[in-house]
Amino acid sequence: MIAVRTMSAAPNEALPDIREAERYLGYGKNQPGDDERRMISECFSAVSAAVSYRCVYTMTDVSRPRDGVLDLGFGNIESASLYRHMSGCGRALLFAATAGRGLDMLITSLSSVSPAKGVIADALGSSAVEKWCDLIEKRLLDGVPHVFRFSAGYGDFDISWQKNILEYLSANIKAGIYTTDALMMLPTKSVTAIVGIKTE
Amino acid sequence: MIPLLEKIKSSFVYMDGAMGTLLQRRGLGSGELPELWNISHPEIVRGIHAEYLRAGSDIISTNTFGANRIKFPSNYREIIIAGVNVARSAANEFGQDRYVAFDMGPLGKMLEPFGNLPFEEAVSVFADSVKAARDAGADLILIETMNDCYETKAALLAAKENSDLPVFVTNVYDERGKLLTGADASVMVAMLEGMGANAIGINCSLGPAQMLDTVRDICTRSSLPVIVCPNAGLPEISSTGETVYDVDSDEFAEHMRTIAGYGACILGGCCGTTPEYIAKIIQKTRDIDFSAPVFKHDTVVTSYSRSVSVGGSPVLVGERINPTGKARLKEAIRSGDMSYIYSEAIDQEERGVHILDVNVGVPGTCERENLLSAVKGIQSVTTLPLQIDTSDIDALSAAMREYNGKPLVNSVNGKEESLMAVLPLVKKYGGVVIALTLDENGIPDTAEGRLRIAEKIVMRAEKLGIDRKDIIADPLAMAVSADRNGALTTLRAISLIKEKLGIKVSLGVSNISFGLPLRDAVNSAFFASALYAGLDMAIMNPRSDAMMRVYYSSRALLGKDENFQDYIAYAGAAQGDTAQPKAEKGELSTLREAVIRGVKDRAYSMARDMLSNEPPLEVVNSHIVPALDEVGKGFEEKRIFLPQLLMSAEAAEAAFEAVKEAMARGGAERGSDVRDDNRVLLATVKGDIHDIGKNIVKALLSNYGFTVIDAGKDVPPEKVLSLARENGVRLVGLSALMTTTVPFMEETIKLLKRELPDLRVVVGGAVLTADYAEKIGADFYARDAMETVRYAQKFFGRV
Repeated sequence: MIAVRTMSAAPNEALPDIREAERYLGYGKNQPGDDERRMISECFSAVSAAVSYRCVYTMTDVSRPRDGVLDLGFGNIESASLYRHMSGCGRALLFAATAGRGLDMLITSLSSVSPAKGVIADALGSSAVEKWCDLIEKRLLDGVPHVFRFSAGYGDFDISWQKNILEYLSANIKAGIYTTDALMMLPTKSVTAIVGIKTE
Repeated sequence: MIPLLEKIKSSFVYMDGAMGTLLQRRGLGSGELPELWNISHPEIVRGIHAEYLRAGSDIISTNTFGANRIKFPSNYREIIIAGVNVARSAANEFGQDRYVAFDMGPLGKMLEPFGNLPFEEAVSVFADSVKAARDAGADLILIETMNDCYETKAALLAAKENSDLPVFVTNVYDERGKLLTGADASVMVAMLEGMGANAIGINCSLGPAQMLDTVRDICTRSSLPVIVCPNAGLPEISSTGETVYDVDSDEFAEHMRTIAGYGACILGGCCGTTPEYIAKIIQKTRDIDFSAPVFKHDTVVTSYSRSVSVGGSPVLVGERINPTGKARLKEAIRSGDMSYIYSEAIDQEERGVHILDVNVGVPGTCERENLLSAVKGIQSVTTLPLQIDTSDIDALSAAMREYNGKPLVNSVNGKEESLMAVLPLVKKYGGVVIALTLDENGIPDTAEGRLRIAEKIVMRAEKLGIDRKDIIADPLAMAVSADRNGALTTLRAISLIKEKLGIKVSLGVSNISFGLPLRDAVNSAFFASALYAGLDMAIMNPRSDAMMRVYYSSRALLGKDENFQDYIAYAGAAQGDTAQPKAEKGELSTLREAVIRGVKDRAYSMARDMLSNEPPLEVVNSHIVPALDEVGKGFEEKRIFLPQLLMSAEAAEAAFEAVKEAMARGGAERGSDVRDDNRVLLATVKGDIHDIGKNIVKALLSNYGFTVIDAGKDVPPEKVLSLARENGVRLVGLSALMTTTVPFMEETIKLLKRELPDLRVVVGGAVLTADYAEKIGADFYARDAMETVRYAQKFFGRV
């Protein structure tokens, strides 16, 4: 028995972080030139207008059927990294979040006329969905001691769990988040995550 | 038994509530598949149906929400038949006038182009489910909880093609009244009515209070009975660990009474509702006077997320995607250069058109294939509705079928052959069709003659069940240079057709000036007169400032632009355009500099100027390529970063565009044939749908003078092989982003090496390393796009 809820946010509540996007674009410590900066700022407006934030989440108990194995309600997860990470956590926030399909369309559309705008929008989009995840945590766990969010694919937490999490949360029906057979998220700027809540 | 379609027009009809919620209460475990209980616990499923029937449900829906070939490949049919049988046996016990709905939910996969499930595959999966339900004796098909317009279309098409049963369709709308894929009620109502659904509406996702606005919106637009099945509010876990919902049956029923007052007449519940909720709804709505839905006369064309209503403010249809007289577009269609077509689409959208005409008929090419890929491709870069423009019936049929939304069709005419071919497609796929007022005897000289043909087309359409709201007459603008009364006849025909037939009128405006100098002047004057005569829609060139001026000023003058808002915004932008750009870009003095800094429009204009004095090859080799090289070196030395590298590539592309145009003018239609020895085939491997990396490589390679054949993303090994063979390619570039898709890269390389041993393969992607690339048999691992360019240059002996 789980109670799955949905949540959304207005685009301006989770704006992409331009510095973060610049890092994704490989600038490192360097600054973009004026022409690039103009284009980045143009893409920033377009990305901010194209996102449609949704998420589906549940709060769940964390049980440990045996050493090294976690159960959050959707199967026995054998992952040393996750097990270690969740130490001291008896509850967890489990969620799937997306910046929406309109963003994918914007990236495709920009790429088709301008590869430069395409990669910039892609980087800003990656940052946007991270900011949305930050907001979800802030809204649901403000003041609650918790560890940082952990996703399938980190460490030895097999990426195939992504599918189980999405199914468990009915994420396709409730938030329009899917995976392909090759475990790619659709819309592409989507995330599944487990956030352990400290109970000890 | 009263036929269901009569019953829904004469009284309220009650559906059932949740199935899953009740199954869980009877022991269905979390993670267990509820549909299997049709076979393993039929008595429990039957018991739940009986409870709903006892509560008063007229329609019960089978426990088959996810019973499809994708989820249950080996036994979906058995599950569906068992589900229908168990519901039927429960319904029979309650006597007459209880109906079994075959419940069909979404497939759990995202459709192309955003996902990777092909539209026809989705239709085929739904079709198999429908056939099973039909054979088992369901009374109707209920397509429900659909959050994607395109998947809804696939399901409805499958239902209509494989049964004669009534079809009810409900979608999931969010608080803002939109599907997850962006459609609002105006889009869904237009598309579903057009395709022949029998009742439509909303279910799941929200409680009744949160869906009031959306329900009202659907009711004001729909000519069909409206279905409403909300959730019992939001779920939470009770102190006993049970999932409970926060709206109780009394509150729920109270809201349903309001909803019935809006005009919804098929009522039920979704997640969290129980027989008690249904009984209360019936109690609360029994005394409301039933009134059947009123027919709505709106002419609506849609994409999958946007609707355009014809008949209020005049609608502009952009005519630029039509190869007639456009050598560059012809070449793009021949060579499958989609990005050129996309840029035309996006440019017209930015200029303010509401609908895009898509015509890709070029002699010697397969129009069906081209139209299909153009329509699907354009729908992945713009949300504007499309006007499918072709005289090839096979192409029209394919494009209408796979179009996402309710298309505009250009066109049918009064000829018997056209009526017989086009109207049935409009009936089947839903659409608004332009009716040209010509027939076997040509185009009548008089307005009355054109009216008669329009009338004939309307009659024939109505006979097939297509309402006249979905016919837009085109009384044909003829060249005034050939007939000095031509414009007057057409203008008179506009008023006459509107008055006598009450239908909307469109024109291809630009024909009027054929054969005259300064065509824009004539076109825009005629456009103004036509708007005054009542023209609802114009197929026109949005790049013409004269036409856009007339459009904005006439709308304002004719009282269709409140407070001149749009006119003022247009005027502001138009004035700004002429004042701003030069100062910023003024300091660029050479083509080389324009390319390095990545200023597209300057690179284009400078190259064009240069081409009047220098031969194309000279412009390429002495100006464009050296500039690119400089940027490439900067990137390799980490002085220049990816965005700048690509901006330069784009500026170079714009300069190449000028070169191509010069060569096309010189007679070489295929453009820069100098590149054809250096073909590189690029593909993102099977399973992988991120193609941004491949697109970067493509942009750079083409600018370094290689001919790129772009196989796209999610490309199966066999397709890479066949494309390599067909094009005589010697170098292939493969990209994969994920560990889960790298195995397909390996498979592709193996196949290529076995079949074409001389072929070289370069690979790239986030998770690859040089060692791994070697292990899977690649010839070269490129860390970034520039490395691919350098490898290609070496390979083709250019350095």
